[in-house]
Amino acid sequence: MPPPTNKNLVYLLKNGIVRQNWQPLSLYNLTRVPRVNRSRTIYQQKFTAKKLTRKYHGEKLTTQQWKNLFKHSLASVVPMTTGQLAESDGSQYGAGRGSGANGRVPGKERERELQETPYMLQTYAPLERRLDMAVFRAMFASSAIQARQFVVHGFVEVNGQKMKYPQYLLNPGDMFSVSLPKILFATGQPKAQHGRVRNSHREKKLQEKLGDAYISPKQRREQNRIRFNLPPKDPYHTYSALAKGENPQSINYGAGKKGDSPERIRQRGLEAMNKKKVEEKHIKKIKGEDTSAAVSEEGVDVEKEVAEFEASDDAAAEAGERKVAKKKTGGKEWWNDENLPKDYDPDVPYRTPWKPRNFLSAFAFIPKYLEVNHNTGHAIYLRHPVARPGQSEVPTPFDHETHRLAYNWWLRSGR
Amino acid sequence: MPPLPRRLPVALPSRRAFTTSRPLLKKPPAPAEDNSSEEGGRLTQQGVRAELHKEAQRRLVADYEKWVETAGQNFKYPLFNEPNYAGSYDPITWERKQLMGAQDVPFPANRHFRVHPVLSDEFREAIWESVVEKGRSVRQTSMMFGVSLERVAAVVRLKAVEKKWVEKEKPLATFLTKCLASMMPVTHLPSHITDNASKDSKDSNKPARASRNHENIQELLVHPFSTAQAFIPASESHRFTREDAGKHFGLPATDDAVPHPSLIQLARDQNAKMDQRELVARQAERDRLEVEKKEEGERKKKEIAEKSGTVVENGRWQWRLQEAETGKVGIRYGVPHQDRKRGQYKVPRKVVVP
Repeated sequence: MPPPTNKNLVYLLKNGIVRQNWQPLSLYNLTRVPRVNRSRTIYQQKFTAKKLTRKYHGEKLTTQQWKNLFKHSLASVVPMTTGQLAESDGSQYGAGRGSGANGRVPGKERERELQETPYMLQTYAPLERRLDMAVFRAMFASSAIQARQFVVHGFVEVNGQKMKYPQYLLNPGDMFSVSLPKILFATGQPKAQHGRVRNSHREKKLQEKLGDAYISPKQRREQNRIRFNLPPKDPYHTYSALAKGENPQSINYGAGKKGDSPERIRQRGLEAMNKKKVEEKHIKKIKGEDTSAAVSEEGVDVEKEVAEFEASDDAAAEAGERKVAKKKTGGKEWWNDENLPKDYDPDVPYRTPWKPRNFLSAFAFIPKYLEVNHNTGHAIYLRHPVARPGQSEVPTPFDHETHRLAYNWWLRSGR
Repeated sequence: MPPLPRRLPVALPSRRAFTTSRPLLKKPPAPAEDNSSEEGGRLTQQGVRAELHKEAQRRLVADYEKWVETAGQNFKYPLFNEPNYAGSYDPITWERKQLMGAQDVPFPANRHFRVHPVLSDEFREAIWESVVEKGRSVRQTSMMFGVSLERVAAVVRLKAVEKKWVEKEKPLATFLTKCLASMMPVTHLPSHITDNASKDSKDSNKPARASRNHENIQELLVHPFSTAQAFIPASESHRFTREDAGKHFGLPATDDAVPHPSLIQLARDQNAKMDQRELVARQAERDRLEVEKKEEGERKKKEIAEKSGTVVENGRWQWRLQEAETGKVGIRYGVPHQDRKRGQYKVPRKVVVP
């Protein structure tokens, strides 16, 4: 009997819930965000929309807390251009019978007008004013809940004074800061914990219950992989590719091309694994440890491949040098930065030397209404988030339609 | 073996109020036959149903684990010098899209949210130099660099904190800024501005302009007054301008309400083919008036503050002494608290900059 699955994981996957954090699960659900079923009644649609959106916006707030913040008025801006303002006094809009001469206004202005302002995406804009939310949006914390913890634990200051209320509403021009070690903890990779087994307590209980039938999570994953005919785990990652001077983008981590059979996907995985074996062989050969000819389990002539690999090695090294030289001009090599402590430090709660946490790049953005300086961990709330034609500043994974329904729900259930 | 239930208990989303772009649950594979034989063929229909339910759940988790180990690997590590958002991948093949518009969409379902670039560190340094070392006003710097007024002021404040840290020899996390900048779109300092900056000492009246602005510096906030429809009778011969429209809404004309009215004046002068020297002189005059107006405002504000009470300056602190009546101010022992009343706030509503 296979052991039971993680209930919470199933719940999040089944309902496609996106939370405000940098987890791979949230990223997975981002790509399959639920849409409201339009064939149901309006009431049901609105109810579902508010349910879906509130799972992301202010997940830890009670309904009443959110209702107290909700505003029916939605902020927006009109992009003006100096050239157009200087050219005319705007009378062309009211010319003729009040809607432009001959019923139309010439030029690009008309075009711009046609792009709609997504007002409804501003529904949850008041939440972005909260201190904990701004801390999360400024990338000072890895989740909204962690941001709240930082505030409550006294690591956050507003205008130089300690602020322990996560519900403090920032005013335009407020400067907030988070203690730098906390930011490095939130954005960095976790500290390796040797000998620690995830869910060890749960696993131990399972082991007692099942006895000999017990299988470890690793074995379980492997069983599932074979059962559902999935490819093996890709042994490569970007850093090794970069070290070899390869373009990290050239590595295809994809699940395969459109229409690929599961067999082909598995084949790709095996090829990648063989490639690694060939490399290891090459390294051993250089060290003089192993020179015997061998054929791998999958029937690949490793010796022949090693020779090919060596031939391509020089070219790759050259390419790597060129790449590094080019990058230096951009000044982007953060791992060579003089301020980055290069040694292992047992006292800090994150991995040393510091490295960005996995899956960070998919969530790395700063909203336009914030100005952040990560050098010191300070940020300024410039103004309230606004909508402009075709754009909204409130970061939300849901589409305009879902927000429209949610807005109507809150509008009605307001005071 | 008992007959399989015709409908699957979990897998069917028919009663659900929402759907996803792809089915959340795929049809689970039929349970293995030896599974039932193990139990000696004593599996009830309920048992089969429960087993199918679990099978569907395992499938759900397996799909996710498959994604993490295959397509999810695209996101595990950053792409160095290029953003790597979910919107820039094809949701089925997980191949990177080469389209220009797809690079800045972190939420694939919400195309209206696009990531705005951040200022590069050199750009921020240049803004700080312009305001603090060269003594240009925030407004002038904003026009010159194509960065909004609030952002210029914020950059200067943040840089001031950073300089203080450097002075105190507090370690900066410059590697963090660099690392995050490699994952986000960045606005770099235009090269011609850096070139002109060195010449600036000779001709400070003619500041260089950024060819492409970091953001639109002439954005006009929509005032609630202007959101209501207004029907104004006007003759066809009447030239109904922006100023008239503003008057009817009880607002200043757009030309005065935008963040940089003087830029409009400058553009008008340029359109009128004015002599370059005249152009510069007029702009300088506008800048001077701007500064004068600001100083006048500050002076008035100070006057009012001084009138309101005696000011006692004591090092870091300024004490404003005002007349007050006992019993009307402060907390008095024995008097019930007012804190549950309307309009009493326990959480601070503003923090004054010291």
